[in-house]
Amino acid sequence: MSETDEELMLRLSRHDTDEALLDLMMRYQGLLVNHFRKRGVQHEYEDLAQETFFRIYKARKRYRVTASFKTWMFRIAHRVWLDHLRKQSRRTRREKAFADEPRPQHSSPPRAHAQDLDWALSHLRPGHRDVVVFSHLEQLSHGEIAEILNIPEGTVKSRLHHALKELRDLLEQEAAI
Amino acid sequence: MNDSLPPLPAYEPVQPSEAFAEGVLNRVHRHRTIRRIRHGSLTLLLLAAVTGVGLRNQWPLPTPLNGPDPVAHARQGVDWLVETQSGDGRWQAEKWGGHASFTPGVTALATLALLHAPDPAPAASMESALQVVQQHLQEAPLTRMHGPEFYNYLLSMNTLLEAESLAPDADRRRLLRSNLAQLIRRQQPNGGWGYAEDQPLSYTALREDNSNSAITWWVCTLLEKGRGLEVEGVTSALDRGTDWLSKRFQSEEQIAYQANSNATATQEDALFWMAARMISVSNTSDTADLSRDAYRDVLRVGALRAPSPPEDVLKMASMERGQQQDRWWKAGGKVYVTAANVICLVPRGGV
Repeated sequence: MSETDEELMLRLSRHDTDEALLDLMMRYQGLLVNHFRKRGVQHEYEDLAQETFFRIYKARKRYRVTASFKTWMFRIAHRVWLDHLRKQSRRTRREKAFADEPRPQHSSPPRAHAQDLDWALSHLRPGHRDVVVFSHLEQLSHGEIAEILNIPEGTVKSRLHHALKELRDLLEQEAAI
Repeated sequence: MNDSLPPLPAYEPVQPSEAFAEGVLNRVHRHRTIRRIRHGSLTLLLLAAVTGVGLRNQWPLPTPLNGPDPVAHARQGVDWLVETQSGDGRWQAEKWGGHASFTPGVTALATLALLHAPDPAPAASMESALQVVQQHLQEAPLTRMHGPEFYNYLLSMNTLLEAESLAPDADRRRLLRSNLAQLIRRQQPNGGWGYAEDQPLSYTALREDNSNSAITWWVCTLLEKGRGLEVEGVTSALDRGTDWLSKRFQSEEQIAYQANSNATATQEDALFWMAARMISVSNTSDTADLSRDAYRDVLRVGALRAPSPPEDVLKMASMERGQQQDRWWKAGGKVYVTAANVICLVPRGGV
C-alpha cells in the first residue's frame, strides 16, 4: 500500500529525502499547475507551482499532521499567489512610471473573451474570487477553504453566496449582449 | 443558500513540463548546500554578535593577500580622509560623489575610520570630527526611523559608542545612555525593530510584519556595544531582538533585505549584504570578539579578491554578485567607500 500524503510529508520532514518530495510532486504537480492556471496566470503557472513545492520543502519542519496535506499545500499556494500578485502590481507600477507615452486603456474586455470565466473571475473582488476558485474549481469543502484562507467558515459561505451571485450576473450580462 | 453556477466554460488542463520536478529538486539541492555552508557560520555570527564570545577560529578566514599591502592602503585612505576633512570637522558627502543629506553619517563613518586607523590619526582632526558627531546626535535625536536621518543617527551612535569604549567621557556617556533607552522603547512587540509608521510607501515591502532584519540588526549591534553603559532593559531587549533575528534568519522567506530591490536574496546573499551594510559598525580593536571581526572578515574576503584600489573594492564586491551597488555608495560617495575600506583593511588587532 502506498504511503499517504501525510506520511510522505512526515518522511520529508524527518529525513529530508528527495524521494518523498518527488512522490508528492508526482501526485500534485498537475493539480497545482492547473490551480494557478485557473486563477488566471497566463504564462508563469508552472513557475508558481514549482515555487509552491519549494516552499513546501522549506517549511517541512513546520508541517503538523493536524491538517491534511492538501489543505496545507493550498495554503502555501495561496501565499505564493498573493506574492505573485504583489510582484505583478509592483511591475505594473514600474512599467507605468517608465512608460514613454500614455497608452489607451480598455475598460471592457475584447468581445471574444466576454464569456470567459477568467474574465468574469477577474472582475470579482480578490476575497470573493478565492472562495470561488477553491470551492467550485478545486472542489474543496467550506471547512478546508476556511483553513486555507484563515477565515471563519461562515465567512466562506457568505462570500461564496455573494461571489456566485455576482459571477452569475456577470456571465448572464455578457451572454445577453 | 444557492451555490450553483450557470454552466461554466471548462478549463483545458495543462500538463506540467518534464523538467518540472527536476527544477524543484535543483533548487532544493542548492538550498541544502547553502544551508550546510552558511547556516553554521550565520548562527555563530549571530550568537557571537550578542554574547561577545570569541569564535574566531570557526569563521572562514580571508584568502591570503596576493595584491598590494592592505595596511598601506588603509594608511593611504586615512591620509586622504584627513586631507579632505573640512575646517569645521565634517566630511561633505556631496563634495565626493555622495549626497548632502548623508554628510552627518559619512562624517561619523570617517571618524570611525580615524579611530581605527593603523597609526594614530592627527589629534586635531580626530577631536573636531568627534565633536561634530556628538553635536549631530545632540541636535538631531532619533525621530523617524527611515531615510538619511535614521542612518545618520545609527552611524553617529555607533561611532560615539566606539569612541566611548576607547576613551570614556561623562557627557558622551549620558547622551549615549538616553539614546539607547529610546531605541529600547522603540522595540516592536515581536522583539524586532522596524521602520516607523510614517515610512514612505516604497518601504512597505521591507517591513516584515513591523520589524525589519536590517534595522533590527543595526539596533542590536548598538545595544551590544552599549551594554557596558548599564541602560535599564538592555539585556532583555537584546535577547528579544536577537531571538527575533534568529527566527527570521531561519525563516527563508524573510531573510532577504536588499535596498531598492524587489528581489528576494538567497541566504548567502543576505549574509553578504548584511555584512556589507554592517561594515560601518566593524570594530578593529584588539578584542577577541568575533562578532566585530567577522563583519570585517567577510568584507575582507571580498576586498582582498579585488585587484582594484581600495575605493573601488566595495563597489566591485557588489557588482561581482550581479546586484546593484550598495546604496551607500550613492549616498556616501568616496568618503564612505574610503572610510569603509580603511576599517575593512586594517589588520586584525588594529590599533
